[in-house]
Amino acid sequence: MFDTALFWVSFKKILGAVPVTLEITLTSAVLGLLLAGVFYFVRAHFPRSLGLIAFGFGFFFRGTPLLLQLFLIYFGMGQFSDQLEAWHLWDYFRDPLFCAILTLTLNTASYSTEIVRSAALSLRSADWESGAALGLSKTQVFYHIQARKFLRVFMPAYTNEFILLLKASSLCSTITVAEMMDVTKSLLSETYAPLEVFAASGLVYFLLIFAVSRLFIGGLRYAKMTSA
Amino acid sequence: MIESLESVLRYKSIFLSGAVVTLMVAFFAYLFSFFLALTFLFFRKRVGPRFRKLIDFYPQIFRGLPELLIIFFLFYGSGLLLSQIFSQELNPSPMASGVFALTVVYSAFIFEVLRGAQASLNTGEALSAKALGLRPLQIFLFIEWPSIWRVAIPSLGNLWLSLIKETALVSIIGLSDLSRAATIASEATQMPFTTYFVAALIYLFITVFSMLGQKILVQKFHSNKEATRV
Repeated sequence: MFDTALFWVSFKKILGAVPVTLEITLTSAVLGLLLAGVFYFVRAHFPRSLGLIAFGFGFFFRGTPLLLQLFLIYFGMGQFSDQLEAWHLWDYFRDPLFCAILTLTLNTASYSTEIVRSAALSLRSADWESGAALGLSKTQVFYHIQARKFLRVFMPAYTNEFILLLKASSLCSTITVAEMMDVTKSLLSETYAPLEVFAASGLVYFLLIFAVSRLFIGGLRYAKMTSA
Repeated sequence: MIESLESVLRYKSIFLSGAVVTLMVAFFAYLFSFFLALTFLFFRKRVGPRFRKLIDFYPQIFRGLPELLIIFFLFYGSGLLLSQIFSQELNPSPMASGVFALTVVYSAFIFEVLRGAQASLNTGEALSAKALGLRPLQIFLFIEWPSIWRVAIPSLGNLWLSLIKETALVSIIGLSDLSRAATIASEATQMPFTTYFVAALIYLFITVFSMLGQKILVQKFHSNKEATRV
């Protein structure tokens, strides 16, 4: 019933697509974090009208399905191909990998902005004063007090968001990016053995996510940032 | 832009029926997951340690796997299983397997939320109820559940919000939900951006409407207003 040889063949093939999945996930995570910082800064320190635009942007990406966002950017931009061509941008939007990373970046940035916001709420201006009273320089207060307080709230929530992003990258298979789920689907149509192929794919995803969460938790423990 | 909007709105009946399917899938998946999670929660405390470990392992699996993979697996897998049992080509309807897959995933998430809420309870209440001679089901329904519910409402609402977005995945296995309707309409109008944007706005409308409902429920049942801001 269960073809072990086929399982291992599928396992190895899907394992070969791990770099693509990681490339999408890591690139969007890094760009998304930077963008989240910008969004938060705009919301906190810019005039209200600009802040509202940043909020509306985030609300749109948090309130609609990621699948629709992928279609909106990959297929939808075709509607503006003339203008994009005039701006020499059309080659980018024709590339599924570019669209996948762009969509995931905007999506994760919207969720990360909320995480940044809640972590920033833990910071108080009194930290600077009490730090100065203890004879700490501004840099010391920043590194030893503010950064740690921020990361203590930020990191646990961000670990969650990163894992969600890793899982969400499987949706990029719908716009023909050759990541793990895409390889899984082509293996399925070659063999039509759902049990073996999905078991293999599930195992790779599970191990990958397990490794990532261990890495994050281990890092937090090393930096002594967990409450437990 | 206005003209393209007009040509998209000519397909409003497709969007409308798609939105109804989306809401139906989300509603049934949530209903079934909720009762499945409740069943797990009830039995968790009343079975041996080995069985309890099995129940606790359930959400761990589904947190570590992409939802798309589970939907595909249950769709193709159940087709294969049905075909083998009845020894003829049988395929489950996308609606049934979509609701089934989302139920499997979301029962795990809801179970996690309810278990967390249960852990925050005062165990003395259940013990005194037992001393008064209440049966296990009575203790669960009348003593534990009201407190669990009160703690869990905000998270349960958030899960409903993410479930609505997740139903879009079911369109990949062929269900004519809102996302599928948008794809069909975009091929007809040749204006993919406007079409998908209209569909996105409908999702956003459902989300905002649900958030209002969540707010009302929280204000009505969530006694601790401090904990509302989670």
